[in-house]
Amino acid sequence: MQGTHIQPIIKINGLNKWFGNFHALRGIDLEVAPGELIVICGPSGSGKSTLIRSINRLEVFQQGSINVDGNEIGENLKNIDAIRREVGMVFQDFNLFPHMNVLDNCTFAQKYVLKRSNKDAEDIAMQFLSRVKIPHQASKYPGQLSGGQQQRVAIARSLCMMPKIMLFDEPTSALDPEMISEVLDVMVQLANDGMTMICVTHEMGFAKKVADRVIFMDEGLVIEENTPNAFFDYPQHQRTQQFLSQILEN
Amino acid sequence: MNQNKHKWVDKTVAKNQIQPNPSGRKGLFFWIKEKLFSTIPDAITTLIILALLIKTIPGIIDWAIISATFVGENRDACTDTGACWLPLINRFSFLVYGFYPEASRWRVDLAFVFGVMVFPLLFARRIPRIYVVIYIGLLPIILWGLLNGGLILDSIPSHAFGGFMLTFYLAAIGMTISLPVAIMLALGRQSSLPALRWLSIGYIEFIRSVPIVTFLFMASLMAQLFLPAGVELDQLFRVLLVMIFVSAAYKAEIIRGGIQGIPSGQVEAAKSLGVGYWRTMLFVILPQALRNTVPSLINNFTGLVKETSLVMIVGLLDLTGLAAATLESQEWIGFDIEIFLGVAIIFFSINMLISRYGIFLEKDIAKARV
Repeated sequence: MQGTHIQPIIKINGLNKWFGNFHALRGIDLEVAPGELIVICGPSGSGKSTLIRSINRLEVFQQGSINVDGNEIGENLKNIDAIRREVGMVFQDFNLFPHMNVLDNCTFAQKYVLKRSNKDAEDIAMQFLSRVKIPHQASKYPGQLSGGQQQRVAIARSLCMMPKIMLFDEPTSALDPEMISEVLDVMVQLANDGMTMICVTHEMGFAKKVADRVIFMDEGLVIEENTPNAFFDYPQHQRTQQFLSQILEN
Repeated sequence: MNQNKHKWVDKTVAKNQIQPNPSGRKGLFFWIKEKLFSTIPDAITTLIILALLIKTIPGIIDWAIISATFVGENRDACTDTGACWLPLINRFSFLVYGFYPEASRWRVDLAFVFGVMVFPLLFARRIPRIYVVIYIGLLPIILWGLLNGGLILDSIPSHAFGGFMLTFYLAAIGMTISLPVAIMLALGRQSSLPALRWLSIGYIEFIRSVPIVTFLFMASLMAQLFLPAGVELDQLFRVLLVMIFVSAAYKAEIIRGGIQGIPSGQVEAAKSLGVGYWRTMLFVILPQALRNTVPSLINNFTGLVKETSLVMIVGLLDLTGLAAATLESQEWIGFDIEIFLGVAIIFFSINMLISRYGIFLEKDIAKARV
């Protein structure tokens, strides 16, 4: 996808973010084309989660600019609502609403944000629950599901809002090993359907299989970015090589 | 040889079978032996308590029931050996309705029915919670309309309010209105707008550090100083406001604790779906926070029910106040024990019902968490 002349859907320029005196993001530049799948990896504390959380303004940054599909993230709160409607997010800890059943988790925002009727919202929810292969769990509560099932519900919940972009913040890190693949399968399917995705993940198999670009971050900087083949086979920087050898050893 | 092998297989099967928990199949005898007489100190304690009970209980029963007086015109009917329940029985309607005009007492009865209805509604799982919330939200208006009147029914002056109906009136309206006020204070205390946050913190901290009696005196004696001449706020209304706004400060702290206990991921998930602040609070955070704080809120409510007795010191006579007044009457002077025991039993029954609901809710919540 690199080098295409398509207008990027996300444009990040000179992004700087501090937590108190800690400089978490140090001048990040990134462009994402529509339909592109980007995997961001790096050691913990490298700023990868902070970066994607800045895209839907879960983190407020101090310098630079982010433009999502023509909407500039800034002080204007109207823009933020517009951006959040277009950007879905999947969290490490699922963050399903525990007091609502699976169906209500999926219809809640549709009804109140998109003003869909009960019936439309439920139809759409069932459609996406089928896509993540758990339509029969619709009346259960999150606490009754396994971690993998909860994460798939969380993905369905985001998809119900028909986002143009999906952000994944370590979606498999809180899962037992045998449940990781069921979540990755859903993500691969989503990638094959052409969704624009930015995934913070250490699932290197997933990155090799579907990523268009892999970005390696450390200490708030983008150290290296490349196509998956080049990234894994010929990492340029010493820091990247070190990180990959550690990760691939396990 | 063959038989031996067979036996060995059987044994394994028996070992692997699901078996009932052995501690679960003991009878009453085992229970008594294990819980009451398991060690020598245990047995001694049990026997001492048993001896105390045998020594006191028959005497209490004799005093309270067998030798007690239940029927009679006046204090001449009372015996020396037993309790005399006449002050409570003969003045029952006075203790319940206070000075409320006799012809309008049906309004009080109806108000009680509306109030008590809350409990079956709360316990019934089938009824959607939203209807219960609406009903409880309308309750203060219903009670006000019925008891104070003024719109459809005749207006009843507030000095006619007294006895159990006043206790009920203050507790029911105080609880239902202070809860939403407390929620707003709790949200204000965590607001990102500094002015709103400081105002909420200041309010909560001030109210919590001053005794409620002080506020009752202020409302009763000093409120006139702050109001323009000619404007007079009803005494009962002022006391009700104190009850609501003091109780709200305490509840606000309970609810704030509940809100802080909800993981930040819940707000983030709602934000990422584009849900705004108010809807996130109303549908995502508060339902969870309030569930978690039910035990403390119930505790606060039982406290409020008991605190209504404090209105006595500004001249309003609730159940306790009328009981005290009964004691001072020529006719029933000296029956302290019976009268206050009666009052205690009434308060105990109400708070028992409220606590039971709390326990029921806690179990329900625990089940929902599975």
